Amino acid sequence: MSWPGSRSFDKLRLRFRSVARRTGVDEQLDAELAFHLDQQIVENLAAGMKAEEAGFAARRVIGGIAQIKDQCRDTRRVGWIMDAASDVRFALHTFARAPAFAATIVGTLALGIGANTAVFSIADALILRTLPLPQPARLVQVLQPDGPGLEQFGERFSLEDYHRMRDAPRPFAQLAAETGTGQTSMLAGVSEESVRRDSVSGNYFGALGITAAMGRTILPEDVEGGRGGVAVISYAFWKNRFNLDPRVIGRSIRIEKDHFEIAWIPSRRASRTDPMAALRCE
Amino acid sequence: MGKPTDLVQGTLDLLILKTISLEPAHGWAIAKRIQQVSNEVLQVQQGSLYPALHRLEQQGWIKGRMDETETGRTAKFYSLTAAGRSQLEKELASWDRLSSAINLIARLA
Repeated sequence: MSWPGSRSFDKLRLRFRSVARRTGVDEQLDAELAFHLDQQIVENLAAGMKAEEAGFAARRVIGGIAQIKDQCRDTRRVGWIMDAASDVRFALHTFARAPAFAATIVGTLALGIGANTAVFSIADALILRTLPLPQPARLVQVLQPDGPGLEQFGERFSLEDYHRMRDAPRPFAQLAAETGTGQTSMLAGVSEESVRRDSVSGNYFGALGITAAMGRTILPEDVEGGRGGVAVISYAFWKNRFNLDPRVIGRSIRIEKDHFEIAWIPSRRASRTDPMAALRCE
Repeated sequence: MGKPTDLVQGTLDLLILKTISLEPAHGWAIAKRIQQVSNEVLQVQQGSLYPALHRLEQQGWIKGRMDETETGRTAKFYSLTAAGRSQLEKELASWDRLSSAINLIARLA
């Protein structure tokens, strides 16, 4: 006796073969039937027929080769459907007989699939996908020791530190600064809403190589000239809040007490999902 | 001896399974053996033999394998699987039931 699943496995293998290697199956069928025909011819010759007559008679006995082939193929194909149908019926009967068991199975599968999907989404975002920037491998974050030991690192730098590192020829090609200021309220048009806002340096988008979906590029002069008040909104925010309206460029928005002019929108690929990044001053 | 008799409906599977239960055989040999063992009474039409072989293979009762014949030709040899062996026992039992039932009626009634 073989183990109980081996027959199903064989069937599965055969089905796979019929579907995936249709030509292989057909070739085997051709060889099978050709062999049969030849045997019939040999028999006819042995019975004393002439060669031509033997071949003709053999074909007559066997009948339509093409027809037999079609029937064999149909057997396989119909068998496939009938098997699948009876499998489904059997499964439904089993479920109906033991609803608690069925619910447990469905629940287990749902939990398993859900947990895997969740873990994979995180792994996908963190490990598999690179940052949507032109040269993510060349991007580093600068930290400095925060406290007595070397275990803790902080992200806080003074403006002087930043300027010194930015203006030094090495080791960075470019250095940009970012300050997260967290949730804040913003008024655009008539409605006020809560958005996430970051303040960044004027060279921020240029250094990261983020291109514009709309509007002009932000230049360091925007902030260094003391003008300030220029804002960048994310593509997602542009879509959700403004319906991708191109006239949004140059519009004034108010963030807390300050007024900003929307200067540009990063391309969708580079866009973060935060609703908004506002540019202020260094 | 009269004309070869057509097979009783549903008995072809039994004949094929029984024929290859001794040793693997290709389609031609199966047809010939059935014909010879039945003293030329039973004749399997090729039009029903090959579809039946493919159906039995699809059921997992027999297994086909390309191999060489004694004459060096390539042919598909069918052999019985474990599932096919138990199917053969079932078919034999049901054939015994059916044939003795028919006998009862034919001889007594």
